[in-house]
Amino acid sequence: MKKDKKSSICELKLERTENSLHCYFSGDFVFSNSKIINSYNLKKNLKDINKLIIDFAELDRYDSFLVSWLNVISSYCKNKNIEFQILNMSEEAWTFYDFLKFQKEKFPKLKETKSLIINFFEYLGNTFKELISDGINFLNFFGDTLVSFSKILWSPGSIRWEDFPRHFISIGINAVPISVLILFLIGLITGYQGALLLRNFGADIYIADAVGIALTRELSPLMVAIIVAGRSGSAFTAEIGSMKVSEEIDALKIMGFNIQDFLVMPRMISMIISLPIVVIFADIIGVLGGLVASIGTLDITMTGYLNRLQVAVDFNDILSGLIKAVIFGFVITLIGCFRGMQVRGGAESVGKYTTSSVVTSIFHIILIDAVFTILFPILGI
Amino acid sequence: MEDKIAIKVKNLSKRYGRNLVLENINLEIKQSSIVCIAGGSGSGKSTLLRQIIGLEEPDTGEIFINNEQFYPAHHKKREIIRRSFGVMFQMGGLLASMTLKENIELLLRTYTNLTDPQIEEIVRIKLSSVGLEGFEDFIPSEISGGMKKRASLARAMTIDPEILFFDEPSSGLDPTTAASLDNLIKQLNKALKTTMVIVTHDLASIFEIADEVYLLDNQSHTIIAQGKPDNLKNSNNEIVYKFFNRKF
Repeated sequence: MKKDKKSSICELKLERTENSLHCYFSGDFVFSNSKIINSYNLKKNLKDINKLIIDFAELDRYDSFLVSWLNVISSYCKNKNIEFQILNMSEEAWTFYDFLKFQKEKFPKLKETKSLIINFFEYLGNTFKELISDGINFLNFFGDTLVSFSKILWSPGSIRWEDFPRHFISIGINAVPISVLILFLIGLITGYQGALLLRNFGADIYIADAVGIALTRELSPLMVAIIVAGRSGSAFTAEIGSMKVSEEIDALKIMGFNIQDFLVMPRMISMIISLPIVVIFADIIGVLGGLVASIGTLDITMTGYLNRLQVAVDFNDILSGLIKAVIFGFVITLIGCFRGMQVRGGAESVGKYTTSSVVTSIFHIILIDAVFTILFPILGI
Repeated sequence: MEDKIAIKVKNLSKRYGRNLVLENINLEIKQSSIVCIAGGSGSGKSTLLRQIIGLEEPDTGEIFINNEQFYPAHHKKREIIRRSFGVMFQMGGLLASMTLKENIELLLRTYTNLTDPQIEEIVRIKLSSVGLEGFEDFIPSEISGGMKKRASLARAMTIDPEILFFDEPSSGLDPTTAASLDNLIKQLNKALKTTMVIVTHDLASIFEIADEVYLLDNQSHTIIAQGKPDNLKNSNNEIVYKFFNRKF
């Protein structure tokens, strides 16, 4: 009987005659006995024989394990030219075996096995094709975003301003504590490292120049952008991606909403306004970090540091950081929302594109920063 | 010979806050039978299923599986009993990051001591029994809704559970695919003698496969009818008659 699973005993007795092996199975041939049954290692005993007989006269319970075990053994015997015979299996067990075996044979294998080289080239080709189609889709998305952006200038009511406060708080205000903490530490590190170097030249007071310019022009916008890309860019992708999975985006399209106006623009405007504000906070706290390091390691007073800072850092330094922040904000939102729109299928795809969104954003932030570093001196900023 | 009871539910009730979902549910499901739990939307069919399979705990009542107390019982005992279940969830519940093969292998590698060729053989047997051989290396997002349901069934049957539960198996499927799934359930029941408990409101499915039906009422939140589908179609109870004859 297959049912009434209670006991769990089994035994495989092996009797070897001249050229054949007789196996007498008794007990339950079930998954829970797989360890005992496999421990007999039947294949080892099949050397130098040309016939294997398995007797199931005392078979009690059985399940799919019996079918898989018989299939594996029979295939092995076929490969080794060993005759294979099953004896005394009950009609009920045969029905069970035939049902699963029949089903298995009914459906041929669909997938062809390809060689490694063909797989490699197929992978290369598919990756290239995906890159091209990604690029085209991104340009389309970028174009749509620019159109929506310009629409706001003519008709500010075209976007959902109701979402603006929520996004402004989550992107801007909530990012302030972690951003200022990190920038304080970066100011401290820059100040300390600079102090060690400048002390050798007796140029202690120039620590304010080093910290002030490095932070306002480069470190603050760059670090804040990386933090926000990790916090908010990924959140944009996950939010929009989940909306795609649950068909909310399709519903919005059907109802006639413009996705750019409805979803992208509120995030874009919030990001572009809030990121420079966070950068200003980060500049102030970062400079204070430099002040702490300077006072601690050099013979500089707080007044001396702040006076020198006033001379060293001019409006262009701060402005260049803020211009970068605006552009970084645009890029983070663009990539975050674009990756969200690329989500297909289920939750796994949301995770994949969220990771991709953060990596792509950080790469583009650093790339753009490098371009600005060269471009600003040429423009006199 | 007297039929053995696979599932027995006694005086089960469940509330979510102040919202009464199930009240005084009593049912007995015979071993190797196909039983449908039917009812309108919001009648608590899926909630009842979740109590029976142990995903939620009822407020009151008792549940017995193969004469062993499943609720109330120690969580370890419940875990052991739960291994005799297979569940096909409404959305499939396949792990999205794994291939179909890996979804099925997971159970075998966790609960059995099978060798790799034996595991491979079981995966092929199970996938072929639901018509999916050749799709071993596909991930769930690469296959259709109907295929996901069949793959979910294959996973549910992996270690030959004694009881298979189905939550709305035909929802979201076209009539042909739904009919083929019904046929598969019947075939599996016949060949493997597995007890099948199906939560559904699909009348076509109920009349095609059910040996017995329990009807839940969304007003009283309890079972108002029980019996063979054809008998319930001619019921004198107005609610039962309307449900099984698709009248309003």
